[in-house]
Amino acid sequence: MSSDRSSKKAEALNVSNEGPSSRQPPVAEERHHVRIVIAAYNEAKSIGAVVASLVPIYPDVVVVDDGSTDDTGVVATSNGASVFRHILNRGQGAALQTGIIAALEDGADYIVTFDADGQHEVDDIARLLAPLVAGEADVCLGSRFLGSAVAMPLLRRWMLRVAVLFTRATTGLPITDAHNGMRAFTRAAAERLDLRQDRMAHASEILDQFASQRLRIREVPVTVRYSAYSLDKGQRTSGAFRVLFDYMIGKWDRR
Amino acid sequence: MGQTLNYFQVFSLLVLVVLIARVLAAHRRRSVGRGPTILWTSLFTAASIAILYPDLTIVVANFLGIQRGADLVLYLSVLGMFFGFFLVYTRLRRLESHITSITRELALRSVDSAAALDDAPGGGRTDQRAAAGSLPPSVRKPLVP
Repeated sequence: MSSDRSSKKAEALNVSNEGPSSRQPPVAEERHHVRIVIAAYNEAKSIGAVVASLVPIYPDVVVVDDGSTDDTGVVATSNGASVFRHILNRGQGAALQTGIIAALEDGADYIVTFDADGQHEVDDIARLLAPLVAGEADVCLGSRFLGSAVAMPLLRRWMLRVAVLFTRATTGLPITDAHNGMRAFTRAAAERLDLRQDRMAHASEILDQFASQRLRIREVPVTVRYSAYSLDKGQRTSGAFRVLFDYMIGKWDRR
Repeated sequence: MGQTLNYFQVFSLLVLVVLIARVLAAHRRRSVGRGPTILWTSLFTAASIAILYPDLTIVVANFLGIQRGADLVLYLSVLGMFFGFFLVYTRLRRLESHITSITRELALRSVDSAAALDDAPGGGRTDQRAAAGSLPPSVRKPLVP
């Protein structure tokens, strides 16, 4: 068990800035500053475990507390994350952009976005970073349809498929999972971003911007685990219409 | 004119006169700019004329191919309201964007997270952001309306 864990750790350490780097060409001696950015709104119940599972492998975890009314910020800090707090709830898109700006200011080389509700797997991060570190891609997206989606409700699956078709049409990208919170991108890619969508439509906007900047985008399989907690807390399926509306208005009125 | 005005005409004309006076007073106070002042004054004046000489609306309407003067007034009002709505909506969206920028700036300068960095050479994050004076990328235009 412990050798299992340390081998995973070694694999991950290849791209983290902590501990000895394993001898793997072409990375070799280079230390890469990886930052995990998590946007959280009232996720006190799950954020502790999420941060605790990340910090041993990726010590630089930043949680953007988007105006939570519970102890999200405190729980995150006590588990080893740095916390930026929005005093008002501005939306997941706004929180992520704040996290990205902070990451660039702090000199991160790679930025990974991760969900606060425990739907994502820590082990998938290494898989996301591999193409970036190898210089094969600027952006790496997680896809549950390439990987696995555990206990995903049927209606959600159907709506996501529709979203994929829509995204393929608007961006021209052969994406298989349009609304996945697991993304990794390089510093250079992050510098090109200017997210205006504060709420959930940011997921479509970020893909639009990556596509229009002609960045090299890859998808890797990831596992997304649905639980009663995450479904309960998560977006209403009807929220999809709000996303569409925000997205279209955003394109019409580019403030 | 010529004949006496009915109650509706008297009442609404009084209201319009008051409204015009308020717009002009606001303009004098500098709380409204020249554009909106001209717009609203013209609007209220046109409404007053339409109320004083209702037959005028019929003439204009017929010229445009609409049967009744009242219908014309209605159509114009609806168009005006749509237009006004979108103006307000655009203003609202910009406000939201500004609120986010402020919230973000506060978050990035917050003492908790900057504490570790304040000891860093070259000043901490708070100093750097204050010194740079640069607006975050999501606010291209200056924060004055």
